Amino acid sequence: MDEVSTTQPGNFKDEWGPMDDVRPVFSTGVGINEETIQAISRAKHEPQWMLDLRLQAYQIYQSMPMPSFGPDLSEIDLNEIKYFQRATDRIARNWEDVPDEIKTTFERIGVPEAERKYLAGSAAQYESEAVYHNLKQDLESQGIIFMDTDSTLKQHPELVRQYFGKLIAASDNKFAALNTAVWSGGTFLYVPKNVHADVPIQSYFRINAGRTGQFERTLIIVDEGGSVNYVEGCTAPNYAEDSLHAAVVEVFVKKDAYCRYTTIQNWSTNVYSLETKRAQAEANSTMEWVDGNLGSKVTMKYPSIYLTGAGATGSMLSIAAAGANMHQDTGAKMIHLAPNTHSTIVSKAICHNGGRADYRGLIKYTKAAKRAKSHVECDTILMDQDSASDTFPVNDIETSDGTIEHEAHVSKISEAQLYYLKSRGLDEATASQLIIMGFLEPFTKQLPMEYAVELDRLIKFQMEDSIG
Amino acid sequence: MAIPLNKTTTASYPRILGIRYDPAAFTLPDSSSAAWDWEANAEALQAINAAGGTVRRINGATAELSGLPQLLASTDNQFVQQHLQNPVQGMVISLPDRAEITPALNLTLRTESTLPVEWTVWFDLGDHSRLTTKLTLDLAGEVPQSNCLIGGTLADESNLTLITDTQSHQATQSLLLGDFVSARDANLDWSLWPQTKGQLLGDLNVTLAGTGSRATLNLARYGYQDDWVGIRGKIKHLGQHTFSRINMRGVLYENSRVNFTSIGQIDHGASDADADQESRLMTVEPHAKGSVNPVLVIDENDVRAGHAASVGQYDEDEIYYLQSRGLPMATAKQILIDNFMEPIWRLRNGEVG
Repeated sequence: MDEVSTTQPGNFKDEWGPMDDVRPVFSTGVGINEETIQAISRAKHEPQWMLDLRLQAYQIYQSMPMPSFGPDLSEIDLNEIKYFQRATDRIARNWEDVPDEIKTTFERIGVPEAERKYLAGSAAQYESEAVYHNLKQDLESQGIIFMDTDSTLKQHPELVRQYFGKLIAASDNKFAALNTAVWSGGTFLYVPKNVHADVPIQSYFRINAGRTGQFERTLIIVDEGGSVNYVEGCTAPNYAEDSLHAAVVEVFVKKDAYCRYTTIQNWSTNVYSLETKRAQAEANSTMEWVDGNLGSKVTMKYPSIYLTGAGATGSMLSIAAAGANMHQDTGAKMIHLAPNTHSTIVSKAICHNGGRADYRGLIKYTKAAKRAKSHVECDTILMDQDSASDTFPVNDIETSDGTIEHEAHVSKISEAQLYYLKSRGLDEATASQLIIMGFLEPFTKQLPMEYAVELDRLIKFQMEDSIG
Repeated sequence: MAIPLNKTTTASYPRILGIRYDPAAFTLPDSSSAAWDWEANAEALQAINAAGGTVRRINGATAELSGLPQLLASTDNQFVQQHLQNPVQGMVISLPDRAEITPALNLTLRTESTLPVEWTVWFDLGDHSRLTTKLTLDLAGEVPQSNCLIGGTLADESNLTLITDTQSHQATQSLLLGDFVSARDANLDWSLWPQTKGQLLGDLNVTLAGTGSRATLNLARYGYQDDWVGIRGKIKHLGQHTFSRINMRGVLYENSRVNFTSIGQIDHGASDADADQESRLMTVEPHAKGSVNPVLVIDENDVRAGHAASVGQYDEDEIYYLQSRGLPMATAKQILIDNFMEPIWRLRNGEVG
């Protein structure tokens, strides 16, 4: 294992945003074996049960095949990835304490600005661990726990043990197993009973070293009657070598609680983003995924909600933008396990410059899901002849009194709308842009204002060559 | 042309990019020596003969099926390829160029056998020809298994309106296959009422190979007792300015289980294609179950493609309203069921599309 890495990023291109010359102070080097896992656990001073869990997951990882469906993953060399590196060896409580090089990166992507104006707390993940942690006093005083998962394991081991891996077992899929074996960083958020976090809680993630895998593990628990709006954004500079992001997110929404989990993902187009996200919604609770996928080389992400309590509601609102050499394979799963449960999926995708965006979803009503209702909408705009989109919904219904509705449309930009806008004096590029932003509006209007502005800028930037 | 696949005896739907559409699979009949007959209305037969066409029984090589190489080249239907490995028994209906047959051909294939049945009904329509056919496949005996392929080739600007009814007198295992290839500006209107009892696995494919070709696939199914039905309809657009509609509706009673999968595929280059699908199931009784899986596979941007699907019970408010007007529950329910299925019957009767 390398105690000090001298990782030097290369092939930076201005159009992919800021990249900093950050030197990790600890790295397990390239590749994975049991020794790597033991080194990670040792470096974090973890309890034995977590090491046992990691080693068990590693065995599962080795025995599981790669996904048999979806995008081509053959170019990932899992033996050429750095599974753990630490950018700084202590957690910073104050912004002033964050190392300058790292701070520069966050400033460029706007974390402090966002925090100052709108956000209550921030645990920004840099490479593999949290380096900045700040929680507003008012939230803390309400008993909300918001910190990186590593720190939570030290400070609240019983809470982590109670929930870790309970929704997503290592055996769920190969990359969930890999995450469980080498996870590092991620966010832990606990909202006590009847506590309402009335401002969004935000975290930024960022990859900054080629071949650096990010395996964050996020746990969110919203206790009975509580509510929270959690926002997470991702952006990364571009590198010549492929990076892997294999996160696992587990969200527990207890009885009568509410949780919204908003993600904006803007990985550079050399990143494989293979994520497993799952939520459990108990009786009369509401879980909402708001999910934007704007970057990466390959994304495979199908956030799911297990509606386990009567009257629970789940929703998924997502957009995907796929440009050149990008394959967004996204969707959602709603598993209805209790009576009177409702779910909604709205998925919007834009493909340009030969990009591919596929929708893959599942609606399942088990026998117990009496009077369940579900509505699914998938809309895609293909901007050019080289772009493509497939829609693969599966509806597995074991009840006779449920209702399910599904609609999907694929088309190019409406010529009638273009014609109208041009007749009002707009040039074609502006008119196209306006139509695209209107198409995405159901998503953007759900975002905090800063994110909506950023998304607007990203979409326009990404499609500069496609419009007009 | 050599049949490319090795013979297998067990069929199941292929996995499409990780999604397995139908869990059930059953053993197909190997080959059949079951006795069977056919009959057709004399008026239509005379008109076909007078136009230089034929309606003939076949019993042997697949080489008799003109257009087969085209179909095998375009189809990815594994069942069709398996089916054609056996000696083909069935009927061939062929029309020369510019043969417009006015009286509808009422063609019935019937067996009273207790052996497995394999039938092929093959259409070969020449340029600018036109035909309406009502095809009935009647499993009147105690047929344990049936394997029926309905397909063919439609040449430029030809038009085939095909109404297909399948029925059995007792529960059976049925495989119903369809595979048509349409050339330039050809049109296929195909309405199916597959009502064989027991297990039914359907795999119906149409390839719109020629510019401007069109296809409409309408299907209705009532599920009773322990019926298990899985039907997949797929229309593939290869040509420019092609048009397709898939409409499937089902009503489920008792312990029946019905699964509809509709696939609209538009390949790269099929610009100005228009593909739309609608699949709906109504579950009437508490133990019936249904699923719908609409799929779009789009590799071209200058298209209009969409689908709509639903599974659900009748509307309780509508039942309440009808009862408030003095109708008994059973009648009110039947009105809603008939109303639900009405679009398919209307399409079948040629009023739309």
